[in-house]
Amino acid sequence: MCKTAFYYVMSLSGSITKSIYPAQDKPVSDRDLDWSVVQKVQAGNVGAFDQLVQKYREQIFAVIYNMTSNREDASDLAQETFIKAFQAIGRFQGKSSFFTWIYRIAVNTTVTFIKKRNRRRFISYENIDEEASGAEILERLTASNRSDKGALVSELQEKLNDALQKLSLKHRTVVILHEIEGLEHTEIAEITQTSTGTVRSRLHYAKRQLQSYLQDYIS
Amino acid sequence: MEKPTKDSGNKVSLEELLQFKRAERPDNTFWNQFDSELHERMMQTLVKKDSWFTQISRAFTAKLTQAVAIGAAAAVFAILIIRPAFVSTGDHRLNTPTAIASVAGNSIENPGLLEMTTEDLADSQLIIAEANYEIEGLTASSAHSSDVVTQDFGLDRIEVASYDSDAYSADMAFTGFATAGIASLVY
Repeated sequence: MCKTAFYYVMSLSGSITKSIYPAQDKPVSDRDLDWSVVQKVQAGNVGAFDQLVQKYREQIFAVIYNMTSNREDASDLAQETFIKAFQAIGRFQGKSSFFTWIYRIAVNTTVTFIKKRNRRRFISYENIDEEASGAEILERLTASNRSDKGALVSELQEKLNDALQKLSLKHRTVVILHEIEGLEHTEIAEITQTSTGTVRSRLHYAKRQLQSYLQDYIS
Repeated sequence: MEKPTKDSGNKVSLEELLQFKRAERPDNTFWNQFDSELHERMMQTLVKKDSWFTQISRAFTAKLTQAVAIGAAAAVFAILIIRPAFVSTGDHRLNTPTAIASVAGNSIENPGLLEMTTEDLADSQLIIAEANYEIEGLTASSAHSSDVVTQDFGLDRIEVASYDSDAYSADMAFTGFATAGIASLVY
């Protein structure tokens, strides 16, 4: 009787431990890694926040840059995003991943900024990495447009940014997060606090709009 | 179906075109500057003082909150403690042996007082007021009083209402306050 009770208590404590801590044999996910860093920051190790900055700064900057089409604004807003995250990290409970949480801060900060900015639009482009842009695609476009590669890249950059700016904020956000950042529908739904159905619908509409704006380049 | 163009074979899809956006990357110089600016701003947020306006509004809010809390506590104290005390004091005053004795004493010592007020109203307004007060006191404890008192009240009330409207209105005001329990404070 006593032995059975002992085993029962042990198995119960084991299941509780498993539910709180990730199993040791499983590979540690990105989410768990981030959570452990967040806990360090929450415990007072402020320097650990720098790990999160280094990990997400490029993605956060890219989202904001593609939403604003202005590298100076994007730099300011990315910094503001990290400062807001730093100030609020004490309240972060790990219910969502740090990744979706900081993306949500970035998107909300940018949306607020764009709404305040009203119609004032300054466009300043980021340098394009020609090697990373896909040589094969560039070759095909160069052949069809009968123009040199450098001019085509600049033209394409301008047209793409213009087309994105013509989209509404909601549609722009979804298309940037999915098509450029490569996020899943569920992740976008969590970031934008909408349903996956809404995300799919917005994505479909945004792509149709972009196709009409960029029809000269699209087959 | 879309009409194929002569260049359609060389064109790309929208997804392929959007890949160019991924290639827009800042260089290392940008990131160095970004990091240093971010650290500076984070340090500023740690040591940043609030503006004078924020400080004043915070102080004002604290004072206001304190005043409201004290006021609310005082109101609760007044409603829960003081008011029942006055109400019950009114009842006790009439129920205590001293009060009963004084009321009875008035009737015994000066049995003609009420009769005098009803007969000689034009002579003395002061006596009328006294008579009204006494009768109101007796009215509150009428449930415990004798038939004689009830009869006096009836007579006096009729007399006052008939002969002196000022005294009547004063009498009614007194009755109302006595019921509310604030009569002692007002008087």
